Amino acid sequence: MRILLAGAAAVALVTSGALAQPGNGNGFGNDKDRASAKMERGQPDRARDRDNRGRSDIQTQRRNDERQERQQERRVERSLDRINDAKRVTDTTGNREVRREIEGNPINRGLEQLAKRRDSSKRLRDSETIIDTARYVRERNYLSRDRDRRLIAGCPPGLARKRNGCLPPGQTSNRDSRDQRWNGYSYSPALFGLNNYDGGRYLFDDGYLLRPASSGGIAGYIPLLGGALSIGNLWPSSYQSYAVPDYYVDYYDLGPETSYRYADNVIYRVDPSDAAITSVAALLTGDEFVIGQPMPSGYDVYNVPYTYRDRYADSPEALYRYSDGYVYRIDPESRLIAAAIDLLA
Amino acid sequence: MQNPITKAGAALAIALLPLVTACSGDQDSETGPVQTREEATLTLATALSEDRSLGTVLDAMQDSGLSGVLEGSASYTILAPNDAAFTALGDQGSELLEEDQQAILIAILRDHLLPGHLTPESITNAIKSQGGPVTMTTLGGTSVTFSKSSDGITVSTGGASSATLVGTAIAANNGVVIPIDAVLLPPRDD
Repeated sequence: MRILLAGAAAVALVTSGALAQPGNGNGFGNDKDRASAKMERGQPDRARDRDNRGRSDIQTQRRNDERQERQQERRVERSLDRINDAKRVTDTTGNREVRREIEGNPINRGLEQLAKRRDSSKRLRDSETIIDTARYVRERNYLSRDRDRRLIAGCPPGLARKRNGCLPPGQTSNRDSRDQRWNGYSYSPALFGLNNYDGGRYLFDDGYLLRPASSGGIAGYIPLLGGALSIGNLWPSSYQSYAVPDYYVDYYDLGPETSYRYADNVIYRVDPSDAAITSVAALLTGDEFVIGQPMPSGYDVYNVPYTYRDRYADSPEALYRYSDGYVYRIDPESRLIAAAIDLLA
Repeated sequence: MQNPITKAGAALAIALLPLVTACSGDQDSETGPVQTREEATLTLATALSEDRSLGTVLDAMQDSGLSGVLEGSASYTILAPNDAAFTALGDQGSELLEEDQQAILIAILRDHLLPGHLTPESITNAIKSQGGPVTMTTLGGTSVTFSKSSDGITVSTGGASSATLVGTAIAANNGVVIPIDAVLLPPRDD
């Protein structure tokens, strides 16, 4: 009995470790790898080489994952066989005390539950189109360039034309110098949903958030959505825009890179001919969902988009949450992010 | 170019779903005080215009240039303050709607937008399963807390302001409109 329990405990530990690894099995998803081929625009050969290398890595990873999963399944099946054999022996011998010990043992019960969870997880994987983890990481890294932002140094264009020496509001006598604080709020980047900038004292004027310099001028500025970044305005050339992964191009229906701008978690549509802003295509949370890491806070409520709610409904085996174009499978117990799901597949 | 809504077959969804049903098909839903009406043929923009008590927030979304978000393929939930909520702000409410305040108006509207498709029923279920208040992060980066009260479900922004879910929510094909009775103001950092 001690041998059986020790064996079951060992298998349970191995199995639980494997099952607790949320990324495990991600490589089985539908790997179109669209982004890798297209993201390196202007460098087709390098992109193709990288893509081929990426595919080779993915195939190797997939083979390893499949091998590990087969091994894990065999371990669980062998262990369950041993438990069933033991049950049969006790049944034939009529030793009810031993049978109760086996059936009532929490390790054995846990093992059976793990086997059930494994089957449920496999069914889930079969019904989902999981984004390959490597591709997902590439896409998130691509987007995260937007988060490493600094103020644009100097004076915003409109203010530079209006004020000699780029004096901030309050230091000139014209109309724009009036205090524009609404409802007593002090203007900070966080108030405008801009969480990638330092805090401190800012001023709001002419559609820009201005950072006063200690010398009395303006040290830097941020163009604001609804201010300098209003519909009809030209995209400020000083405001860095980034390309988004092709998954986002497809999901938000953005078109070629010349027809959109992405900055500070907002995607704008622009007129390709003159970069005039024509509409706001999407607002992003910018929340970090890292496969294998805990789900970010602020996603307590089931929020899967309408079209996908039947397919990705919360269950005892999995929770699903939506953010910025992806649905994520969350382990209900550990709350770790198990997989990102491709909504376009 | 793939669009998730068109790809999934909006026509099929329209055919399969009743145009107007009593409440959403949320899983194991214990219906809260606010019901959800499914309008699978509508976009968020159209759904907003369906509720006559939400004219101010509709105008605000259109005037500020956010209407494109309401007509896009991505899914959002709008906590939509009704007209009385803007009126209750008094002069500050009027000033907020002036053209030179659009940046701050958008900042406030972003805190009324949540990622994805949340219904009052799913919020109620989350409160029930969690055994207390639940939080979501807005598109403005603010954390909002939903909790049950004697009036129904309330939503608050870090103690700065709170509102109660009122009326009937509308589940459109790209999100949900949930009417609320107050404008949620962002927390003050000073």
